Amino acid sequence: MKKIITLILALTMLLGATLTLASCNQGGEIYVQTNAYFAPFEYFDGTEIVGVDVEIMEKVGDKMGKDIVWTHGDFGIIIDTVAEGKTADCGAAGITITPERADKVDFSKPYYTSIQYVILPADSDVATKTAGGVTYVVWEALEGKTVATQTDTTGWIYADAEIDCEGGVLYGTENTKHEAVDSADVASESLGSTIDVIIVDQLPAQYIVENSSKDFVCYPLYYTGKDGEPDAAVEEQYAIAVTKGNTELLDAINEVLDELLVKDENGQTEIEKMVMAHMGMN
Amino acid sequence: MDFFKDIGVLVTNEKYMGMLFEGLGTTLLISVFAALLGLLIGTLVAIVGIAQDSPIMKLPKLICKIYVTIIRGTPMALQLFIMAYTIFAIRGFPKEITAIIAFGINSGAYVSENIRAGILSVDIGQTEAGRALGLNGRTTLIKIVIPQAIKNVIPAIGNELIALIKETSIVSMIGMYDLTQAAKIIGAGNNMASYVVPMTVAACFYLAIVYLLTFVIKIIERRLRASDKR
Amino acid sequence: MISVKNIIKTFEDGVTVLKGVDCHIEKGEVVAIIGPSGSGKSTLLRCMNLLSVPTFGEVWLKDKLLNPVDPYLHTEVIEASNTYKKLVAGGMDGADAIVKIKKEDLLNEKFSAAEGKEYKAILKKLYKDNHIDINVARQKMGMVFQHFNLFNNLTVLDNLTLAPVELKLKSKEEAEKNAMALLKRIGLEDKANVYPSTLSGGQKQRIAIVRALAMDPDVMLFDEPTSALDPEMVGEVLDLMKQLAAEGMTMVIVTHEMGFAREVADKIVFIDEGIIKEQGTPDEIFNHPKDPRLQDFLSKVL
Repeated sequence: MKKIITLILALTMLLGATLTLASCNQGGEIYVQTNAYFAPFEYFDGTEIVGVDVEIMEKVGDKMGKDIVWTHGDFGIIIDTVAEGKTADCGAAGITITPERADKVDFSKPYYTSIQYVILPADSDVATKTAGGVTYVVWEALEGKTVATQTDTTGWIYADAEIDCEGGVLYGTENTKHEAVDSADVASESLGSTIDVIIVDQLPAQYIVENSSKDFVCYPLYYTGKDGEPDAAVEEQYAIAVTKGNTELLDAINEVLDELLVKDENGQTEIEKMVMAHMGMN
Repeated sequence: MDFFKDIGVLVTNEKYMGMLFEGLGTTLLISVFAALLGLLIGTLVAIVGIAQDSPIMKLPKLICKIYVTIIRGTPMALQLFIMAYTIFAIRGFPKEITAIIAFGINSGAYVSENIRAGILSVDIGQTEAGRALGLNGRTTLIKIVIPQAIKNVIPAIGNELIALIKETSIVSMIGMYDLTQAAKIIGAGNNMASYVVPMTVAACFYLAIVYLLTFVIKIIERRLRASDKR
Repeated sequence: MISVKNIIKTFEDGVTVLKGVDCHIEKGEVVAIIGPSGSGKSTLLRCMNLLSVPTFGEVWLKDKLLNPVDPYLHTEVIEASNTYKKLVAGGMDGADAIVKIKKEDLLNEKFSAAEGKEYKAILKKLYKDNHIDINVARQKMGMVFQHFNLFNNLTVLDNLTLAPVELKLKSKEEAEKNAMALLKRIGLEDKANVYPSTLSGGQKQRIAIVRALAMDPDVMLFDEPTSALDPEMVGEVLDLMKQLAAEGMTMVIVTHEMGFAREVADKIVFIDEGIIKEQGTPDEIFNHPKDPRLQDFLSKVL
């Protein structure tokens, strides 16, 4: 009994020491909150987090002379932790700018424009449309389908707005919404069987289709144009979220993004090249 | 069968197995220390719970009651979440410690009930004999009652430990690299692009630990029973 | 050696099992307490070392008080109380007032300040002058239980040495040497390292007796020591108790063994319905009982 208590006391002290060390170790790092299930922007390679956002932040770190510390967690917690600023200075996870989020955190300039895509089995009966050389799927075509999205991503927000909220395109129709933790997982396990369609950002969509052993296709998701206007893509812009008031970091990020967004002779930006590289498409 | 072929692919892949073992390390680290912490908290709370009513004990008793009620009345996942994102929202704070404390506190509430029942199951005559010899209440409890209570509660504590090990799988929620997280990453699109296979292998890992633990508990039980037979 | 004064014991469920018991045990005396079951004889014994705490009354070991002062037993305390003063001021005779207070239990808050400063001070002084810590007192009062209550988690030897060593009365070596001598005395030295669960009832009870003896007690309390034994084992336990009595140990024994009580006891106390109905020498109690309840009881058990 005595031995056990002594052991536990010793451990508590050890933990305490670690804690003190950890809390002393401040200032030299930038803490970045992410959710590393969002290839090609961030994903696990073994135990290490890699991706486009990682490369961007490494450049920010170099510019500021600080190390980057990545923290992986639920996507939904990123805005909270960045807004609090206690455990994270910024969040980089392919975060779409929304007015609600912009209330809580400062956003860098957008560094990537993503279009919402749908992933379908090749033999899906979902109708496609073609206009101006682009094949796409409109929301209306998804009526009655079981739709999967990754929790808290933009696709999830769109699906929620269009399926569950009054005034949405598919509101009141027979749709089943399925929330997943990882789109790639849903694709590999359920698409074509229990799930009819996945709504996800353009790049991950292309990446999943590219890398899946099964026969999938993906198309951009469009809103049907009203009153004769042409159909329009469901678009969104990614930016890095920074704790409000941390202008030093925000400025450094914007500087890095400015450099990376310069088009080269082929009209490609550095970021687009990174995206392609991480998707294994260069 | 693709499934069995894929399992073969996973278990022969050094990188993937390394990831699983690294995750297993975290799972075991959290489980072991959380169990010890839970045992300590549980014992203290149980002793406060069975202490005689007196004005001094009123507040501790109330605190312990609230503690047990809250912990047993809320989901472990939410306790972990609150612990990670509000209480220990300190930058650079090791997640392992957050998890150990969260699971230790959770386990303590359940263990305290087990220990309380164990202590109450020891014949009152044992206490009376100790007190009649002039030993004080504390010595009687420590030297006579608790050793006998431990024997009674080992099976229940063992079950609690097993539940604890399996429950630690939710630490992937706060981004920790445990066995379940390793399986998730192996299942991600850039690796095996299938959850079912790595999850199955991870499940086998859990099963192996739990089986081993069951075995160890049996041995401990048998040794503690030495005073019953022989 | 032990004096209990006006012991009243009411349990939490409101049942009063002792209704005012006075009893005095001399040094070297062997006292047997007999009576029908439910008469309160075990409770009386347990009150002697406060395993049961008396509701009223005092327990004394030699010249030391074990439990709180009972104000009703001290005229000077009553006289200092506000209640008494009020009665006397109302024209009542002092002696009558004391009788009235005792009889009607008029001291409302008997251990608090409600009866006045003087009352509290005198009560405190009495307690301070006479009180002894119960744990210290119990070291000198060995107790043997009906169900033995050997410590199941300890070997026989550890059962005997735990208390002397824990209480720092003896070094570990001394305690073990003493314990082995005691085990030898009862012929069980070969059982020193076994656990109690392997022993017979008679062996357990004899070890329980020497466990109490290992503390070098001044008095031994026996609570129906043979009631839980198989008949063939009663003899060995009683023989050991007889030896102790012969050596001059002060003993208080609650028992159903009338033959043993008659042979060994110096004094028999007959208790029934919570009061002592009769006490005297074995000859007086067994051959010339006066109390009708005692006569009735003896006619049934003899």
